[in-house]
Amino acid sequence: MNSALISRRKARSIGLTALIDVVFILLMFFMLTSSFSRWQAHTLQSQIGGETVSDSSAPLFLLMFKAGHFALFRDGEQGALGELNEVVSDLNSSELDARTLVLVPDSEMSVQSIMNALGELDALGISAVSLGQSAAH
Amino acid sequence: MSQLRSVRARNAGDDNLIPLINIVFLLLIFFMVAGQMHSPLEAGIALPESQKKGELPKRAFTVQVDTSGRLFVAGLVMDSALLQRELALPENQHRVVALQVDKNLKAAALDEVLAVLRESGVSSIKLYSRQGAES
Repeated sequence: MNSALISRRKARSIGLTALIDVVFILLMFFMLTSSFSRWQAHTLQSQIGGETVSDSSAPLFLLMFKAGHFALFRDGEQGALGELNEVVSDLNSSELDARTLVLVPDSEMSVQSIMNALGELDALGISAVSLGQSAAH
Repeated sequence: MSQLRSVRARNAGDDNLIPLINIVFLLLIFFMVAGQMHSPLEAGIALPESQKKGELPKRAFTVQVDTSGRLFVAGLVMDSALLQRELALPENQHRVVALQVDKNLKAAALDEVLAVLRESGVSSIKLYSRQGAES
């Protein structure tokens, strides 16, 4: 009677050691491979490569960008150099719908500065921005 | 009787492991949910930070560019001609290009990469960044 009970218990009990082995291996895998820095991807609208904002026949606003200062070229005339929000405050939404805003960074500007400028423009509600070919230093 | 006692003792040992398994499972779930898995960057490449949100493409042809403008595809250094040849392969045509560039890369060097991609007929480019701290 006793031996039958013991053998039934033996058959029912699950070996936890094997389970822990597998779980530990999974834990090690996820600890070593996963990263906590979140990546994101932005569609690059570029005059050089990638998607263009609108057709090339549309007239352009050029937003020159050098060392944290911006200047707007409107109908071939350069506006005053200043902070981004001051420079784009002159543009109204209907103008921006009809014309393409092209960010023209100085050739020495870093990708981080370009991303900062695109982020600032996005925060100002201007998301349809195309990246133009950099201007010579 | 002594056999029954030894089985009980073994079961008691297994019972002590249950809190350990609970903790290990919690850690496992944490790393599975909170962590993000992505292909490793070439040594020295640090992605720019950005506050803008953007979804990662499901399948993309990844091109990495370091500070000096060197191109890497799947861990191999490439020149622009080789990259164009890779992009011309049937399996790579019409694919989204994931551009992972170093944050200190100069705009002039980025222009060169974009020009190569345009010449290869790439229509969709995704520029990668790291999510910056909320200000």
